[in-house]
Amino acid sequence: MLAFILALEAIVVSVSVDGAALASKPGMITRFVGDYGAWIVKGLIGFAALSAIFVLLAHRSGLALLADELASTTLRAKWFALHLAAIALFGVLSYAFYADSSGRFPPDLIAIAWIGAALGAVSTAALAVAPWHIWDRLVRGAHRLIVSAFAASALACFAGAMSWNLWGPTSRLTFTLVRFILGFFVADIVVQPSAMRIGTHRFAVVISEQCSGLEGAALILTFGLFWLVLCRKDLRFPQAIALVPAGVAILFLLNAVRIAALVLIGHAGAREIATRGFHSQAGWIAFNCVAFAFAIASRHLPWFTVAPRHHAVEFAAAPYLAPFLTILAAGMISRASSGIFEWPYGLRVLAALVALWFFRKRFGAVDWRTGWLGPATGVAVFLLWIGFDRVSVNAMPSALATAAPDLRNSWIALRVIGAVLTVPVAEELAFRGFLLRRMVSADFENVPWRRFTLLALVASSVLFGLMHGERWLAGTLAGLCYAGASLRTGRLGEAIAAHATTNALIAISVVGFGHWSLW
Amino acid sequence: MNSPIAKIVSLTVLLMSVGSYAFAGAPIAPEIDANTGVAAVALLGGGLLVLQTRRRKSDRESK
Repeated sequence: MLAFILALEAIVVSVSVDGAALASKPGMITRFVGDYGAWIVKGLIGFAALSAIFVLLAHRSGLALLADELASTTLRAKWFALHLAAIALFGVLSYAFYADSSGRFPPDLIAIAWIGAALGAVSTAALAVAPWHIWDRLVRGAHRLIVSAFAASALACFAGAMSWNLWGPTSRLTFTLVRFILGFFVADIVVQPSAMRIGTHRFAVVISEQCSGLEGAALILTFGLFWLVLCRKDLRFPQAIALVPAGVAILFLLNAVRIAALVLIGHAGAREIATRGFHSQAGWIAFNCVAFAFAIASRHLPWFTVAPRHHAVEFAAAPYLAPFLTILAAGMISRASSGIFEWPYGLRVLAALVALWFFRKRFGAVDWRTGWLGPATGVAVFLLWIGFDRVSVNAMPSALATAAPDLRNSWIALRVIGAVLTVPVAEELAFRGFLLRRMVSADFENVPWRRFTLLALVASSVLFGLMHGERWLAGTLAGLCYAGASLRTGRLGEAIAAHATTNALIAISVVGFGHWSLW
Repeated sequence: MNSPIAKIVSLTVLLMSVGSYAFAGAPIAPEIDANTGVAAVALLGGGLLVLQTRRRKSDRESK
């Protein structure tokens, strides 16, 4: 609960505080906060995350002892009350510092009080969780790691700030690469280097700084370094390090290919697909492909790994996760090939059916049966779902409404099949069949279907909720209900029936009563 | 969750998913669009979890 409150406070602060509001205010400290505040906060978050990861990896036994000691320590109410007071003061001062432009108080004075309240909120939160002597022991025991984490986060912040200088040169390099690639396909390329505009006489794009490929490079760099650290025992060094620059270079090149493909799609007449679906999905598709290739190469190519090779291998989680993952992958592909409306939705249904068919012989441990509890839970979740939503009658999406009746009906039929059949089976296999049990034990296949831990139940439900976008809270509660149905009876079939019932009622609400916002 | 790898992969999935909400109000970045990132990160995290459960076929048959 405390972790939830602290996370909520952090999200509220990060969303509501905007350093740009300080640009017009006088005062040396105020200007410093406006210019560097965001980087300092990022650095502190990075420092906390790195420290936690370093300590977790290197001091697991010591941490377990501390955890045991902490388990017997209750929340220290006095410090927690002080924390709430400090965070309330911080909220008031944040308003005065960022939003109040009346000039009643000198900005630097408010800045000092604001910084003090922030430090007070953090330190009282720490002391509410554990007494001073535990923090002291933790810092003394892992001071080298903490210094390393501080150095790494400071370096990352410095590199992040310096990377702004790279936007210009990298976007020019990307521009040149796109021009080179387009030259193979189009004879009359339209080029305006001063405006960074490139394309054809029918379709052209401006390569802005955010298109330079740096975002993808930073993402794959982060992923690669984490992967090398996590899998270090199985990797062959220094060979494995070569994967990092290779991944960065490949993703950078793929970004140029992405922009060239976008131009060619637009040139072919599919402007909407180019600027909407393909534009937003292609970067992620490329990143996922490179990250998977990185992970597979590091674990399977003998030049990179010291792990023994086996010829006949299988993946224990594959039957449970593959249907869900193929839906996600098919969804990315179908959205990338769509304009405003996702016409190829049926691809998701087909992908899930193929995956379920492929693994059909490995579902021996799954009890597909259901009784009354599953459908009853499904009805309750449906009521909860529409209770969270301001359900109203919305017009059918215009693309669907103006389509030929056969096409429209086929799309709706596939959408209903997906919602009622493939999605419940795939998601319940993934979240209740695998994730919940995997969080109980690494040997998840031998975890009894009624067994769970509170952490596993909540974490798997929160992740399930996050998959539902803006409806994450309703999704989390739905996940808890579906898990409850499965755990109560020991049958995954109950959760699937519950999920299918909810989705069927939503489909009736959409198709029968015009509540299209529910889809 | 027992192994640190699974813990951190799951944590990464969670943090990046939450992160994409925090950035949802920001202008859409053309290469990496945070608004469509949840599915992509979930796909990557799930795929890595599948890779982590690699075993010899005989291990299952002997259970």
